[in-house]
Amino acid sequence: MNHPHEQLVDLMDGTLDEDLLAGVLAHLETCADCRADLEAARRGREAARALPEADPPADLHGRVVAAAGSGARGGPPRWSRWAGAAAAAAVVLAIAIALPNVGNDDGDLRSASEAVAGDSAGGGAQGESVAQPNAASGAVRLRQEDLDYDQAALQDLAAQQQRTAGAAAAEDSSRPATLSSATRDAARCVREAFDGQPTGRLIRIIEATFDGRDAYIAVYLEGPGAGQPPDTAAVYVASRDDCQLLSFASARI
Amino acid sequence: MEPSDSDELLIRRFQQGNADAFEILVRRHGGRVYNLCLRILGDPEEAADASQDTFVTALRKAHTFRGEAAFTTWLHRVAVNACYDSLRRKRRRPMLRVITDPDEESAETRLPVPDHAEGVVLSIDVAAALREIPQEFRIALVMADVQDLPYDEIARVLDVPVGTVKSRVFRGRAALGRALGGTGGEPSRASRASEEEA
Repeated sequence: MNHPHEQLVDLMDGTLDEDLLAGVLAHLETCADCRADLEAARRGREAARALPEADPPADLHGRVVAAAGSGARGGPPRWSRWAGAAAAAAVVLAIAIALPNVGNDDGDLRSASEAVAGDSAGGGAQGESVAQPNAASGAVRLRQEDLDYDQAALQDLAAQQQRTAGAAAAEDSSRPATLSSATRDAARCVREAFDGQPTGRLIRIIEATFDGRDAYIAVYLEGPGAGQPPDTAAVYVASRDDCQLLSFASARI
Repeated sequence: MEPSDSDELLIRRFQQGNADAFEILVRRHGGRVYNLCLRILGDPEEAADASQDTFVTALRKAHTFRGEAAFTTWLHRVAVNACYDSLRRKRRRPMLRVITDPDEESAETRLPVPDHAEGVVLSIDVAAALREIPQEFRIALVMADVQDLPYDEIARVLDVPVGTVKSRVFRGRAALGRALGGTGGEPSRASRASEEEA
């Protein structure tokens, strides 16, 4: 036997079409299952409607912003082009250029800001500076750093590319980089965190921590497309353990 | 920007780079999203996590909102998906525990015993009974009777016909009524049914 559950809801709600009413009532006369269901459904509806409304977590917005990282700043999906990003990057760039050359002692535990500033000031003079050698070889190596990045350090990292990206862009911005498997896995993790957003040329990928969390930090050169040269260095940060979005920074190049 | 601005206007402002617009949306809809998740998942912490995931996803996918559906429909869909994800994770967790520590698993998965000494006996009982209902019915029931959403709106959120929504709501109500006890005889089709459609 077909049980008219749809019509029974309308009957409960008082919205059952009059033409159907007699048929449904006749069904109820003969169907003990439906009579019992209807009685239980009335109790169920009453109980569900009486449930009190609970207060949401007071810090819900803060949690969302923290979980989304800089994505909470708003703007179009193009992570590297959010409103204000270029202006912020310009300020950071000015700071980065103004910083003194503090050297580049890899292996020492430094703050990421110091390290990035050091790399920036050192330019391509040392072998560890990645962008220029990579541009020449087409290879990107996953670099492990004993550093804890924060948002300011990310901005520095993005701004730093301004000095070195020109050569990479001029060399060949369309040729895909050759990646090792560890690098590929790390890049995949970052793309997953950002829903495939990074679309430019990967020029640098770092295994470090961000605000204390194990993270992959990927630097891409991104352009407007249509064969135009890249105009933005975009830094994407994802958690290593579950490939979740942690943060983002960008700078015009 | 006024707090009384429409959802659609606020999401457009956010798309244009105004972060405050999103904060207004979270404050405006946080309660609804949290209560939806709470009644579907039955656990305040999981509901808080799912609510957070809902708004993070909404924030990341804001550019996909084209204004063809109401913002609330779109947001409910995102929230229901976050609840499905949470339920899937929950299903996987006990299996891992069985392997590592069977004793702990049985304690973890036991339903909380309602505390009849408290003044909130009824709502605790109802919340616990809700968890026993097949999830498809529970989701429809919660949207209809807790959130008071019209059936056609629920149909758009779940992307199923209105008739299917009504059928799920009826089965959910009947299953809840039976889970709460009282008169009504033996379990019948509605409460015995698994998640198959009518």
